[in-house]
Amino acid sequence: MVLAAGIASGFIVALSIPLDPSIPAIGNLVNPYGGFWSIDHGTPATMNVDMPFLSGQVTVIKDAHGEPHIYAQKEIDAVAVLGFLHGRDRMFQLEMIRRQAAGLLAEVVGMQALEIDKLYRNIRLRSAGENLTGYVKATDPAMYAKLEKYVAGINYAIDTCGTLPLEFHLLGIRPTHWTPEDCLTIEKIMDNMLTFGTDDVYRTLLREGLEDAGYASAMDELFPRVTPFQKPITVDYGTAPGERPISPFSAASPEMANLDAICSWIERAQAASPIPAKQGFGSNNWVVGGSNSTTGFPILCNDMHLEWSLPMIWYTAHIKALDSDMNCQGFTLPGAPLVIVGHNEHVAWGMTNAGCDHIDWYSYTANSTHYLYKGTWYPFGSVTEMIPVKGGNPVPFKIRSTIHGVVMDNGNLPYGLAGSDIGTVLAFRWVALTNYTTTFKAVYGFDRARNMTEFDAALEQFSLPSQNVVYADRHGNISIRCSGWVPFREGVNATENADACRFVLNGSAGEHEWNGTFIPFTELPHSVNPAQGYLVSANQLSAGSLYPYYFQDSMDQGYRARRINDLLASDPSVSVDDMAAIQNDVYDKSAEWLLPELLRVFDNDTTFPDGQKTLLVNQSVAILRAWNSSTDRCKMLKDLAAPTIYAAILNKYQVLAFDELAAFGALPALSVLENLTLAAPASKWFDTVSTTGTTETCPDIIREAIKQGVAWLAASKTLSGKAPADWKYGLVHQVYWHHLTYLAALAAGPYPASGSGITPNPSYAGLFSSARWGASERMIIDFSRWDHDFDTSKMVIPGGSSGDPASRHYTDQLQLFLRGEYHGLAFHQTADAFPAGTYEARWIFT
Amino acid sequence: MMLTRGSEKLQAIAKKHAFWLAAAVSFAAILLNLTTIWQLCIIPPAIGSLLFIKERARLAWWSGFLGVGLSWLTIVLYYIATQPAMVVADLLIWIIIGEPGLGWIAIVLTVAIGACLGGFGGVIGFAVQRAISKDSMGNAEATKER
Repeated sequence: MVLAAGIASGFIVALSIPLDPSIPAIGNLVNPYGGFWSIDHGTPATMNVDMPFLSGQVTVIKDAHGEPHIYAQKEIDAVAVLGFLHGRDRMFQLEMIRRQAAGLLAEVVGMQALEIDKLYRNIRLRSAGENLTGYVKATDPAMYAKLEKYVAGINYAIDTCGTLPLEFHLLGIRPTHWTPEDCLTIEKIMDNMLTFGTDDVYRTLLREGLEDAGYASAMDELFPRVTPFQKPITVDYGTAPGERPISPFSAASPEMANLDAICSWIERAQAASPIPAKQGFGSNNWVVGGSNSTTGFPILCNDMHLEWSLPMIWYTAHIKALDSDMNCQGFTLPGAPLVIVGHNEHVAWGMTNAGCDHIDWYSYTANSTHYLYKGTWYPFGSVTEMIPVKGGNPVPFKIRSTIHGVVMDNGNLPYGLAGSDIGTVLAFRWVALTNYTTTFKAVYGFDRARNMTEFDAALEQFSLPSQNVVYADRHGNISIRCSGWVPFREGVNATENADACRFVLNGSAGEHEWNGTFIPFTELPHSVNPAQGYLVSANQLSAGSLYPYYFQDSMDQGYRARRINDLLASDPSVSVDDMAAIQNDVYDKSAEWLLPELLRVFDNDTTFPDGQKTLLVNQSVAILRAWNSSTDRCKMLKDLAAPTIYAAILNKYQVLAFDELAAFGALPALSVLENLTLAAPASKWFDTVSTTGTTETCPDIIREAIKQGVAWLAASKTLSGKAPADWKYGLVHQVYWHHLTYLAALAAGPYPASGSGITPNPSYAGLFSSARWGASERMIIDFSRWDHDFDTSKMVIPGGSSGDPASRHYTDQLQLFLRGEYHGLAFHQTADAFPAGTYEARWIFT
Repeated sequence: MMLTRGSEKLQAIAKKHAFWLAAAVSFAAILLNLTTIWQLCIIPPAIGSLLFIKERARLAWWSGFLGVGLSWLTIVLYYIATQPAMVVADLLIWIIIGEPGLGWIAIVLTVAIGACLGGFGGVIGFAVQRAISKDSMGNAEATKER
């Protein structure tokens, strides 16, 4: 009996405990008593939910895409139900967001997440969220009450969901209850995603390296703050300014090791984060006034470019409450009780990242306990936190601070210089941590705005992340405004030291200190009802040379903006379908200037002798020539071979032209190369460093790029053995959606895709790799039908409403997105207005 | 003595109604689903063999094995019929062994775990019953000697 009992006990124990921190207990996972089999994937057609904290009835219609339309008597109840729906449909996403921001991932996945936790604790997102919660509670009780109701909804979903979603089984964890602090930390996550970065540090390292290598002018000429051919977002501040000189930086070279180590650590931790941590530059929005549309009313478009994941970052919802002006629809962010981008029955708005400079980095002379500031040694501020680790002991993590802000240090950085206790530390000052931001208040104002005055009043509260906010209303107004709190720095404006803050500042000297104020809202770049009849932003330069302040340190190189401007300027009467075509446009503006150059070089026997024209090169150029004269010219279509050949040659052209930079892993913006190709073909940058006795010029580099590009494709594993005509672009350019756990089984793709990193429909990846970010939503709002529930307007997200991999709404919209299609808004004003058969569920909350 | 006699009667019933015995064990195991504590599934076969099976440990093992195995299979089939559970099974096995389309392995694994649990329960019940029987016999012998 003892033997039998012993074996049985061993059997049960072995199946009930994880054998390794990364492997769930197999018995708990597969048993049908609460294991994965019993997960509820259903969307019942009818359901009555008894939520004890509601003050009135709420009806929810889940439309054909599983997107909710919430109809409530009271706004506070609508917010609670939105929380419930976020919790029900995106429970694991909520858990990951909360844990990542708080530095609590290692608690559930073990040591592998420790560096991610250190990073997020170091940049103090959770701490800032907690401070902000105290501020909101004290100054805006109504908003705080909404947050409390919202988290009550989330927690009700957690408490009543029965068997947890699959991801919780895999990790062997349970979801944590939400608090208002978690919600306001979400605001900080967006700040982190869109405004925190080490660009200044990276640029400093690059400049030092270039100067050491003898390329002192490279920073000015190849990495200017304002890249060539910019077309400013706003039309009221002149055209783009020219380049400016860069202020000197006096850091000693040994300090660079620390800077490099910090950059590397942050990049590694960001890359491994489940929730996107750092975005590149992307997003399009534009608006056309009634004078330029077929309908006589404004049409507004937006597609924000973020990392692709499953589930996607956005959750589409329509919220209507009878006791307030709330009747808005658009993209909500799970964890926040607001429609971030969307429309109501009066106005619509969309956003692109503005690239404003909200953060400065400072280096200090320091020892292990003190740092030097303006000739005096000050002790570091210090706090030590314990990071819980699954399967191990908690790890202590010390965070230090200076007069400017938090010191970046994961505890493993090289510290003292050789033979000395004196070293360098790096700290940052960031608006997200220095001020009580009011972005939630702003967005709440957007959701309820009835006209431009109300909208702008709300926009003034939009602190971070700075955005170019495009606006339209049913009265025919259009506008664009750059928003956000951009600090004034001492001795810095648009014409004086404008580049200084793009590099690490000398913190010990107190260089270019913030003076405690921000550029006034009314003086931020903006345009209202312009004569040209449309406005476009695609992360390019916000204002021309007449703008007086320094405020934007990063911007896109401008090809998407140029293309969209071209299309809108050439069509005085655009329709909703035209707008959809622009959002799906895959015209590569760089091919417009480079393709003729390639053919010109090839056709010239002097620059490209016949003896060097192999069969493959001849075939490839013939394909490019046919592309150049076809209706698909410059279009990066997945079924064509020409885009493959073009992209390979372009890649080689950039690398060969800037061979001096190979050691630094840096390439200038493509528009810099465009400028050199068209305006300075004999520039010194075209001369190849490794050759002696010859001076190469632009045609020489293009010739080599053609030869090497074609050879690269022919030698690739993917295309090997295929004729150039069969080098379809979709074979080498694909798109991919990772799951928050990075498990391949839960991901989508790769799918062959059209487009490139600089087409209006973007897919940011080089050849032979899958693009992992691009449009995170697409929205077209047509005001001609505002009084018919916007029935000609469209939306889509590249994913679905559900985070459940077994739900048909996990990727149903992704398929639409890949085909360039949308779904209607179903912006009905009552639950009963939905025609039978057009929705899948009707739930009553009491 | 009374216990031994009662047990013999139950054994006779078990032999006569073996199918219904397995069904009862299955039903009891399914009822335990309400508890969401899967480990409790060891109890019905243990009680079953404690009360009904005297002679062969193998019979105790197989009755528990089949009883709980069938009950788990029934529940799994219910979920497959009413939910996209097979989609998740495919994903889960894909995650674990890296190959898509092998969700059936999850069914086999699940049923095997349940069946083994039932088998162990049966054997434990049988062993307890044997220990009690021996104890009763021992007591009876001792009474005789006195």
